[in-house]
Amino acid sequence: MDNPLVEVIGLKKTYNSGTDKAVEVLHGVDMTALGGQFIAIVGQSGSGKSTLLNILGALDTPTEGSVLIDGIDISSLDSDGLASVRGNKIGFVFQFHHLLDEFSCLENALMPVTIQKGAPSREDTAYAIKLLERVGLGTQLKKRANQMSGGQQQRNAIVRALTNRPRLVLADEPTGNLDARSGAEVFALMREIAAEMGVAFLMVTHDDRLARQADRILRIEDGFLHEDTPGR
Amino acid sequence: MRFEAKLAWRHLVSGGGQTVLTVFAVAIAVTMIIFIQTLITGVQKRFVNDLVGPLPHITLKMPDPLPDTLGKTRTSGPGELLATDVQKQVQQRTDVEPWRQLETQLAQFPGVKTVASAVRGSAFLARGSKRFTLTISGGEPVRQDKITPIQKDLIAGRWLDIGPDELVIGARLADEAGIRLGDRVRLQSTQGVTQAFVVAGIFYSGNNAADLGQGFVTLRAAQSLFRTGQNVSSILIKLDDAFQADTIAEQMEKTLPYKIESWMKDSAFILNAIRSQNQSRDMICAFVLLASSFAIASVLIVSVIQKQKQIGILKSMGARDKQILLVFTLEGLGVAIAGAFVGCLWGFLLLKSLENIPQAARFGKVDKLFNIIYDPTIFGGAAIAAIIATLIAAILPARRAARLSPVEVIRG
Repeated sequence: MDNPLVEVIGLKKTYNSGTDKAVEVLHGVDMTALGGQFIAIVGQSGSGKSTLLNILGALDTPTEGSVLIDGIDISSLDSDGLASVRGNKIGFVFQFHHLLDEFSCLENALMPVTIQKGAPSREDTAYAIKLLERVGLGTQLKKRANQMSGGQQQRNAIVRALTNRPRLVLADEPTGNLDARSGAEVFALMREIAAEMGVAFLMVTHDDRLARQADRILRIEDGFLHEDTPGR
Repeated sequence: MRFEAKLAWRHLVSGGGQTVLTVFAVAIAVTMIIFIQTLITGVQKRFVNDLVGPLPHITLKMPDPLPDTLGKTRTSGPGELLATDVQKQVQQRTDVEPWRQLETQLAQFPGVKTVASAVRGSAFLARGSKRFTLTISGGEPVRQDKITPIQKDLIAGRWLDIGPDELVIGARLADEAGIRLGDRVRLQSTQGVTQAFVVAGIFYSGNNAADLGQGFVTLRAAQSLFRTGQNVSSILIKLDDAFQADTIAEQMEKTLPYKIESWMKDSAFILNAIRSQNQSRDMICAFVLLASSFAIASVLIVSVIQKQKQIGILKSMGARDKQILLVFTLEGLGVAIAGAFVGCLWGFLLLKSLENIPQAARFGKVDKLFNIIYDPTIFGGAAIAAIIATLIAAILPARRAARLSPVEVIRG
């Protein structure tokens, strides 16, 4: 069996820890994810889905337990170390595209590489163009974010999450802001890319129809994680 | 750095009116500083020039003789008397010698521009019932002119080639005494010598005391009028920098056994006034900078608030705190450099527009209202001060941006 790309052991997260307003959101989560798997995380609002995603994305740190991303225990890293993991191992897709209006479609796609290297290499640019062509944005390279449609913007954001060749992509309601048709297209695209590139995709969604198409479904209820069977 | 510079640049370009506003704030501060500094420096330079221009920076004279105490002369012999008062001896001889040799020695001191020997004294000029007291300076006109510039202030006649029986006087004296060019006047020196001179030139310096009470003759004429024979009464020195007079006078005093006087010692109260004026000027400039820094800091803080989401997204893509800090600091630097450049340009244009405004003419001589001197150190200093102040103002919002938690801002 392959080594897990993501390994979470006894993860607890408490907000306002050490005060009388302390709230434990995650009560000891254990999970693993393999490269190429497409995992849907479902649950009610406030159940702890986004908290789990933020910790897996090295945006937040656990109160207890350990989180290993590609063998690196992120719970012991400082701010620069976490930034490095985010820059090199992880890609993010948010509900809203959050593209930078000051930059073109291609520049936005290359942003993670630009942040890490200062400026993208010729190979990076060629790779980003290939990905943009793959998602149907080959003719939109020089367009600004505000000159593209919602679906195009989100596809641009997906490519941005992939240009630094991450091992893990975290998507927080990536289709939540799109109409049904665009949402289905974007979902299908992510599904294909995960399989093609061997990238682990963890997608938080409220849409059960989309979740049922994932390889695995993880359900969070009251801070506990359960695995559902897909296709039910 | 390339990412940070690129993002900072794009922020500034996309900032539009907000960027223009901050650039204007810096530019106005730089313009104000250049304007205030140039104006006050110009006024001071004109004032010092009017005050010191006609004066030698350093004057060498014979030293005062040492007092010879009564006690010292009465210590031997019976019936001694004790001295209760020590009096300074009345100076017997004022001629400086050997003056030609001294001129050569003095000219070798660093910072010395011109050395000229002179005979100076007081004389009366009588016109009708009026008597005017003049300070007469006698020297070789060409060298004398380098100590007390007359030629540039000459409004009638000649100066540099006057003969031993010719005299140059100020316009106010000519006006009050009704003297015209070519008139013959009599001078009576304090040594009792009376001599006739033809008025060969009239000058107007703008300095009332000089225009009313100074006269210039040749060295030979003055030697005869004040009975100094072949000698001179003082050696006058002009320096490259008038404000070095005290230092150079001290150096001269250490090596030469003469009385060396600096203009700065005689005008200490004026120098104190200038120092106070400089402090006021610097304080005004500091407040201008402070005001513009607050304006810039406010605009940049608003900019950071507007870009919180973007900062969170950049951090989610691996941007480190110091990269975000650098982006907003570079934005501040960009505003500062652009503002400093525009401010220098505006400052230059403002000074240019004021440069040629005349003030009311007197004795036919038109002077400029403002003494504008384009000093690159004022322009450079204002630009550097504004850049530093803007950078300091930018640090606060930049640090705030760097400290933003990506989770908080993405969650909104």
